[in-house]
Amino acid sequence: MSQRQRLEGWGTDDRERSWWRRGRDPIGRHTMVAAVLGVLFAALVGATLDPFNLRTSDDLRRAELAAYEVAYAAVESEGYADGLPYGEVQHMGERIVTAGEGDDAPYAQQFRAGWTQGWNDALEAMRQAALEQELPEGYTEYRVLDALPRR
Amino acid sequence: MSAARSLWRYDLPRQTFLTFVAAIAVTAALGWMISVLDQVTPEEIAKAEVRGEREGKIDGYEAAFERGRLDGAGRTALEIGELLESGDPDEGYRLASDFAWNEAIDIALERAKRDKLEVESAFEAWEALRR
Repeated sequence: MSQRQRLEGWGTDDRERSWWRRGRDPIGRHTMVAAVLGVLFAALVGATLDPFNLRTSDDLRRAELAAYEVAYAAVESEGYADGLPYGEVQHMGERIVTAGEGDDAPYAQQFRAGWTQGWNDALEAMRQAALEQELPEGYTEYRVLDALPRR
Repeated sequence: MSAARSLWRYDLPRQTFLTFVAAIAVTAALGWMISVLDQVTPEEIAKAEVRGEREGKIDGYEAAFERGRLDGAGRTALEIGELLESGDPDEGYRLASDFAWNEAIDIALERAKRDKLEVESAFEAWEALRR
């Protein structure tokens, strides 16, 4: 092909035309970009607007988590109110009964007496309750009570 | 509008637009199919809510109880000297007795429930004994 022939053909080939004037090109760059943009657009709309609005397993997790958070917050004050006196007396027990602090103090003496009496009375009350239920001898309840040492 | 119409006359813009729309349609169809296959019933949602509520109650109570327990222990650590010196002995007896009583019931219940094989039990009666 001579130099002249090449110059005559300038502007008539697909490459030299404006893009929209070019012919059909099913696997060309424009088609590919349009396909990718279409997928991205649909995915974005689906993720943000939820047009189908169907309940899926994701909603299951969300519902569970929401209920969890509400219930968690609802019982916090109750748990704290129960834990505070428990911690107070438990620590008193560690100091007065276990470590033997305040040997001669009337408060410590009474505390120790209550510590022993309360435990032993509870074991007795539980045995009585099991007997009132007419549980046969050898039941787990009796075995557990027998295994627990009296103070 | 007329620019769009004149562009529509050409193959490539028309093909590009149709590809864009087709990609949206195919993605939407796939998304819809996946959503339908993954769909759950209102009953399942209700069950999940009940499960979440139950676990939330347990976890929330335990965490708050533990926080309260530690605060209580800290408070007693600060006040124990004064308590031993001038605390009401009867109050001390009552506190220790109630604590030990409940502790015995909790321990017995925990062990009995762990080892239980029989059908009948005294668990409800024991739980009712708590002070």
